[in-house]
Amino acid sequence: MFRFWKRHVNGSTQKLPKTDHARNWPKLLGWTAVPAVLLIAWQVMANAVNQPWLFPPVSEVFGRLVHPLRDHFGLGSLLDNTLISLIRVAIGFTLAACAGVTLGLLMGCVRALRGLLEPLVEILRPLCPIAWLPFAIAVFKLKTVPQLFGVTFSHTILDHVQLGMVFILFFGAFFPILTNTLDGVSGVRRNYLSLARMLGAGRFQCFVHVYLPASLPMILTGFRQGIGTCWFVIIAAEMLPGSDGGIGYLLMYAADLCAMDVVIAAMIIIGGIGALLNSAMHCAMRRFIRWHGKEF
Amino acid sequence: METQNADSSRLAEDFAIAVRGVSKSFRSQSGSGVYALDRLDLTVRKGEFVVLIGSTGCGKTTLLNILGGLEGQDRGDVRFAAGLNREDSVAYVFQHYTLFPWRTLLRNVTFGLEMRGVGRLQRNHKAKKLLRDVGLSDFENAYPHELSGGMRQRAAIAQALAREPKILLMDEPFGALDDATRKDLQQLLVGLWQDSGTTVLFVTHSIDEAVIMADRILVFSERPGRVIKDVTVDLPRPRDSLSSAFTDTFVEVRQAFYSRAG
Repeated sequence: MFRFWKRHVNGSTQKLPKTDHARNWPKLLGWTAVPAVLLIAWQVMANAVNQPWLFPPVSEVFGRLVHPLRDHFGLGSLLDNTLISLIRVAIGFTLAACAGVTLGLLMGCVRALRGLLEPLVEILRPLCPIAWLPFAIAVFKLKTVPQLFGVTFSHTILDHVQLGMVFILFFGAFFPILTNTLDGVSGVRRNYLSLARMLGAGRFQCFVHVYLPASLPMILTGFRQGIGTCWFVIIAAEMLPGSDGGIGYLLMYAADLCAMDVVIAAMIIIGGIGALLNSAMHCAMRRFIRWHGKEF
Repeated sequence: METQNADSSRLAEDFAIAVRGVSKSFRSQSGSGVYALDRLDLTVRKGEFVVLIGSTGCGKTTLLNILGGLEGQDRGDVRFAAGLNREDSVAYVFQHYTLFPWRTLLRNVTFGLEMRGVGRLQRNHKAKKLLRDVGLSDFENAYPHELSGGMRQRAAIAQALAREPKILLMDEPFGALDDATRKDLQQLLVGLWQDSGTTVLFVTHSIDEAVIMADRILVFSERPGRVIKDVTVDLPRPRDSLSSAFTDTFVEVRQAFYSRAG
């Protein structure tokens, strides 16, 4: 954050880095010493308890993590299952992003459409996406994405992407993206529309060159919330019936077999990827909308 | 109607904008109508630099919005000279929100040309020239938030001029600037106007600014807005704000300005 800011001020505050560095020692320790202490405490306590099927030591868990390609219980490796979860999220999220942004922009620009659809959105939005799962399984059975295109078995990772999963992931991301886009469009200053009109922009051009860029910060906020929700939802969904793989499925399967080391390794991966997705979205926001919050 | 026709045919030689009997009212929150403009008449000649002056809320901005097509009038008639139309001939510079914050300066200046479908090379070439004219050639890749208020207004002028407007509407464009910057921009604007031959309608509430720049100053009454004094300024340019002729004009406008209630 700081470095980003400095690039713009450019040299006028030469002394700041030092004080900043000094003031940042809690952060530095938070990234190094605190986790180290916790890991040591964990290792010591686990050795004292000596029941690895309930409370495995750090060394065993890390043993799993440093071999991400090793097969577990014939279900594939940690990496395989992580990729299965990620590809499901990617497909569900992409569909939700396309639909959410388009509908959000349209609802924001066309008042009638907003009036017609907003009550429906307000009713469906608070519904937990997981609650759709039984319905989704009933409707789509265990149909996968390749089967949708008439391929029974494609021998790719896509065979693990069930339509039901895509369906609930879609709902997980769709509503945050839709409502944020809608808020973004409603928040567009009329001044920019007047300016665009005076510069000769027609209705469609206003849509592309004013509404879309002006609401981009809110759209990306929606993406960030949406992808976070997707990652929550897929892990929960994979633990429920109807799943055949994925990091959440592996976690549940390992738990049933008392392989707590695999369970914790999977938890660490899930947490890490969640954090990674979030910070990737954060970086994208900073990169694409340098102007955000700096209107005048 | 007949007198109107006679009037506009008499003006046909050199008028750019003719406003006849334009009224506009707004409904206030209590539900009663408030007149912003009441049967306003004014004529602006081609290439003229006209300054509208009056206190806040006297309908100057409403008039510009009507001329720019952002608002409609309740009654009356707005005419542009033959060959001029709202879509292509009129540009508008606002006081605030003059640039799109998500576009670089270059892309802000090219906006109007992009809307018109001018090719990228051509519009960039033109925008670079305009940015040079307003003294911002080093900032074409900067975003508006990285610039000072004065630089933004320079860019806004370049943005408006990119479409080569025949009529330039300006609503207190220098209202938020400090004195020195304001002086620079006044000079710049007068220079650009002299080179381009554009008709300028400029709203301000600074008498000094009006006398420095205008060919003609129209003093507006309090709401509802009507022209109560029409002062022609034929001082030589560049104008010296310390000369006695300047002071005389200043006083004349000032007298009208402060007697406008009566």
